[in-house]
Amino acid sequence: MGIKMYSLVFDNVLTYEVEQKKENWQNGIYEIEEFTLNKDVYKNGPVLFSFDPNPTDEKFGRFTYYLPISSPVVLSDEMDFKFQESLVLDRALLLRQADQEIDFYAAYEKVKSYARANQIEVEDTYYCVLLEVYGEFIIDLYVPIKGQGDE
Amino acid sequence: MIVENHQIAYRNVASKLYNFLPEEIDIALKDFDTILTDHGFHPTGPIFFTIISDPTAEVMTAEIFLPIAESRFSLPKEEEVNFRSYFYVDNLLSTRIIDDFDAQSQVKYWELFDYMKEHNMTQKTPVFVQFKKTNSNRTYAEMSLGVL
Repeated sequence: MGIKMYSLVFDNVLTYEVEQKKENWQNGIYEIEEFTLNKDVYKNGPVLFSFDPNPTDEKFGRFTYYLPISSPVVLSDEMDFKFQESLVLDRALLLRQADQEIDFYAAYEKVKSYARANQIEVEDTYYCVLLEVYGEFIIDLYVPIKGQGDE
Repeated sequence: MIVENHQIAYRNVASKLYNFLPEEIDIALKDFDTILTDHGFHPTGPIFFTIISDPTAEVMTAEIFLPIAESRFSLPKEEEVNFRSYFYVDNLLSTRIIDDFDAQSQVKYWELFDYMKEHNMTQKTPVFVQFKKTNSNRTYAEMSLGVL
């Protein structure tokens, strides 16, 4: 599977934001998956996160984790989790990475150089959809075309 | 027979809530297919739905799901159609209905809940029903329930 142009859309997501070391990317997955839902609202998609690199320290960045759920929920303001009606990347470059070791930064670099070669301008923030296969993660990495990411 | 650890996973899935009389389910399924087709989308199937209402209720409430070929999706808000690029539920108890769907679906529905209780599991999702076809074109339904 090469690099292709795709949309990424989810209606009804829970979000959780944290500034952390890039290598700790798995922490937020546990946080958001442990969020208790009831049987009327259930998880119905894979966890994904966006990564916005810190401009002064490349080891750090802002992670926003998303958990797709079946219907809207009302959450109190004090919570770390927020509800978002939809997440929409209108047009993005998609690369599937199924390497032994998860390295989303290397995958991003690959998309970035593809974009450069094809004179496509892309955003700095990118999105990783975590697909579980036999207990391991495969990443679908989406890099939005400039101006066509989530608002 | 009930199996554990079943999952349902599709790309590019549209869905909509419907209320209908159980015997008129085909009308609802057809209606959803028509809405998507009329707006230029290409359903790839299989169609599936969740039973949200009490199974003994006269009017059934269901969310109908249909995978489509397109990754880009937008519809006027008044159509009340949801969309997600990836649909994924796991940890489902699952059983098959080969024939006599109307009578067997009631039996199998309660079998799932009995199994869940006997094994001290907690319900996490409504009941899913998926219509499938074998290579030799035999149709059957798969009924499943998300638990933990």
